[in-house]
Amino acid sequence: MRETRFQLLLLVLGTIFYPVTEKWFAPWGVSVNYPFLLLFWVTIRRGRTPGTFYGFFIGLLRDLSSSTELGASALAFSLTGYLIGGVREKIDRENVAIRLTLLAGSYLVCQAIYLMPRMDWSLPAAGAAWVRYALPGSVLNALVYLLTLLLVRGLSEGLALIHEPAEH
Amino acid sequence: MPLVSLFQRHRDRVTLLACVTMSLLLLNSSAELKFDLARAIGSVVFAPSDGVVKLNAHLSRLQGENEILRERVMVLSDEWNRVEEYRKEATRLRHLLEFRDAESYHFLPAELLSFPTNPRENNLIRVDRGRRDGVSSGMPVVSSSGLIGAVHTVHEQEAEVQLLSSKNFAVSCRDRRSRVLGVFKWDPRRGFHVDRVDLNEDVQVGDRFMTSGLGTRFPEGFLLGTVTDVQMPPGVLRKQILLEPSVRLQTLEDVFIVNLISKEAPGFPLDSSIATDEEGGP
Repeated sequence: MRETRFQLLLLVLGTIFYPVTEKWFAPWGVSVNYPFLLLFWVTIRRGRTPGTFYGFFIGLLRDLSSSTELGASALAFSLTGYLIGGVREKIDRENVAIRLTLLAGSYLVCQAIYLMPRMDWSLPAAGAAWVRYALPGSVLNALVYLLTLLLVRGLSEGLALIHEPAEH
Repeated sequence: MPLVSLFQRHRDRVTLLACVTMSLLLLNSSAELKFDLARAIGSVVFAPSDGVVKLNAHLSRLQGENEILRERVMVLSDEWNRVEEYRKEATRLRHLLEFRDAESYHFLPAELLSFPTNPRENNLIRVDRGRRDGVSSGMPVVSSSGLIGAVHTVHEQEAEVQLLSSKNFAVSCRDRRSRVLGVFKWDPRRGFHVDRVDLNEDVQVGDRFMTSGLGTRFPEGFLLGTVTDVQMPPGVLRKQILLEPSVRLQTLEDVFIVNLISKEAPGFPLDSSIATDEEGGP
């Protein structure tokens, strides 16, 4: 319950402050989509059903906080949550390379679903936007995820070393 | 019951179906509904981030203003230094010419305690400085825009100031451009005007009049007003000059009592017998 609350809080805060902070670091106009990264993280931990629900929830918040078509992000994020949750059960979750591949792939799927209603269901327009933003975005988000993972692991190991009783 | 068990068995698919259905409904809803929904939820959920955004914008604006003000301070500081040089030069030249020294004045800040609702009818304001602050009757009262009036009655902790817009108030004044002398007055019929300017004197609309320093009470150089109309009706010997006062009496905020005037300043002291009737101050 406590973990759920914490995850929910992270998701809400991340999504609310995303429009404010997305321009702070956006190389070549591609920003780090941390609502998506949070969704990925939560779904990998929790599974398909929470992933779908959280996806819908943060997608809706994302739609409300930006000028996007209401429901577009909700649809894309809930489907992506479902997809990640489904794949999660069939892969080795401890393997970082697989996880990164899954993240990049699911990001591309998410963007494809998101761009279609935004571009009035025009395949060429959505395709062009997808190539322009989704492809570099998937690499950037995978990199950020990897860096965060390494940082968290490094911190955990450092803390474990500090708390480990000295051996004589 | 079978529905519940079905839901439990296919919880993930039911959740997906519900989420996708809701998303599609939202996508296909009317623009008005979308707007209302977005406004209702957004006003509650996004209020904190809005605050942050506004604070950020506010700070950016303040930073910009601060930079402009800093630059302005630098410019003014530079100008002040040059003016100071001119002042020293003027003092030196005055000494050379054996003029009296025009030393500066001490401004005592004062707060308004009361203000007449119609300053044209009741021309006294009360300020929070009195005898204990060294205020005495007749001292000039100014604001950053120019002369306001003069101290009329002094009490221990407060004083009453007679405004320029008084019938029995007159100040010797000078046109800043052409140096023409006159007498600044107010009456209910004409409003603010300058008297005693001959027909052949050079006064034009837009000229600014300031205190001349002649007389006993008012130091030189405080702005009085700007000429709005100059008339020379047939049969009169003097120009009829109307002014817009430099101080907006209705919006007075900070006032200063000129409470220390150098005895060496021009026109001080002046024997009361020589004081002209132009100086009709209190």
